Amino acid sequence: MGWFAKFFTAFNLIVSEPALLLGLLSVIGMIALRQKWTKVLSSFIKTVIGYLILNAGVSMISTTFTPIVTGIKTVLGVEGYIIEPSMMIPVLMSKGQELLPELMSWASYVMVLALMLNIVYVIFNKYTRIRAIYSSGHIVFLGAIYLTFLVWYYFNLPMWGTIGITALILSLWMSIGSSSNIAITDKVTGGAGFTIAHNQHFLNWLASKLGPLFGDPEKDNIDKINFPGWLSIFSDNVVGVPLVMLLFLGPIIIALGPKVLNFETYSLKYFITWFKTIMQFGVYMVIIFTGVRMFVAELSTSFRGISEKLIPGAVIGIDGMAVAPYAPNAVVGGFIVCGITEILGMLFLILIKSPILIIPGFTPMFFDAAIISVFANKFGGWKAVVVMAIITGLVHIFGNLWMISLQGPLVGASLGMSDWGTVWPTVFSLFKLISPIR
Amino acid sequence: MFKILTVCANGMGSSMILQMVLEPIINDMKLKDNVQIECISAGQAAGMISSTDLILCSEQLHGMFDIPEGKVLVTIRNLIDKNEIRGKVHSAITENFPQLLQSGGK
Repeated sequence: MGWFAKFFTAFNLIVSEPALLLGLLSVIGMIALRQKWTKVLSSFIKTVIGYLILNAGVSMISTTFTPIVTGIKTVLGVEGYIIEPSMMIPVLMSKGQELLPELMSWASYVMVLALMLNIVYVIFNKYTRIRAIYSSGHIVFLGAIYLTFLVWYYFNLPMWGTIGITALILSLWMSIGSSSNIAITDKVTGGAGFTIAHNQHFLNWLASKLGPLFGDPEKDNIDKINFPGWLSIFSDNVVGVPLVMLLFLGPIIIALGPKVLNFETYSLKYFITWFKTIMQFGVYMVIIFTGVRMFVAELSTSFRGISEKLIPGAVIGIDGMAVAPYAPNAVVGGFIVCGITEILGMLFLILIKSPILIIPGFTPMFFDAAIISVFANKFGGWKAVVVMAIITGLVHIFGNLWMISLQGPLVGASLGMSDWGTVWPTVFSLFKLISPIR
Repeated sequence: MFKILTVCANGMGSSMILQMVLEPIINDMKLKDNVQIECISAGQAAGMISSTDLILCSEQLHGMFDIPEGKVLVTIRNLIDKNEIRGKVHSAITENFPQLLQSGGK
């Protein structure tokens, strides 16, 4: 048995390296699709390198971000949380991994298992009534890491117990969420044949129910309103994320005093450094996204191929922005209203001296608001857009406060997107009740 | 090498879908050159336009790009509609890069 034990140890060593584990999974996927060996090899390398790029971005962001979070605590006396998924990744991969070293490998298993379970539910749709294949791999990736940590935090189960439960709840959210959006997406797109696989299934559904109470989709259609053209710069998140950070995080950094950036006074040099520091976040974000995009693309190709072979007729769930062409003004209008709501929400928290400071981020305020507003417009015109964008902004502030109270030792950022401020805190409030250790 | 970029705001959601739907369509066209399809965010795409031939993106992003001479932008309404994508990409190639089509190409 000697050599078998040695092989098993070696195998274990390999799969506990997340980059190699993901590479191995992509190889399995490519082989299952009977790809040429050249494609299998390039897929493996792209997956590994993609993950290592992600790792590089995460370690760089921590050196810039940590002194700011610490500064907010010591100087302002509050815990600061940026609500931005791309900031949640580094928090999970630093603090999360510190507390649970196997977090990334476990999360990789969860991600693949959740994608497989989604396919299984659809195969048995006669019983499950799940018809949508969730194809947004980058969201499954982030959800897997976040949920793996939280499930472990609340239940401290061994590896496969944690992975099993996390994959189960993640796959249920993915499948039920995207299936619940099938009918309303068809309404918006005029039967285009896809559904939403993203982070705001609940509010999309709510928009379709509340919309008619506020407006008339024909008379109040938002596409009749003219919006200024310059707002289109926000259609690009390389511009959007640093810009929003400049507006929200910028003043906070200034309020921390010049010492936080190693200056004695608010000199011109200080402001140049201040500006560059905030722009650095844009840099790290591009690096992180480049990495995630690389390996998610490889894994998604495998999963898409496999699901097409097994269930050719299923409805595909895709990134929510796919509905943007059907109401581009709703995208802009929703973003503005949601942004204003979040500014006011943040100021409100500061006024009541809340111990937690929520710092709005670009991704929720743009993507969530945009997608939910497209649905709101379809069911209730611009009036519904205003109402739902305000609700979305409030969820971003207060829903996140709720989720933050449940996310334990993870500080500095929150995932932010609306399902993670509504559906998931509900789930974890329950988990907290039944948890034997928290 | 014929280079195609699929573009969206994030470089991961819509652009990846476009890439996945486009790949089999391009393979079917059997163009007379190697084709490379990459998905990217709009901000990063701007820096890569000079080495790209064809850009594909969602309709509402059409204003994001300055398209130089010799490059082509195709906008798509329904990201999973194979017919829309095949039709628009085939027209774009026929008009601007006819040398790539097989004679009597479909």
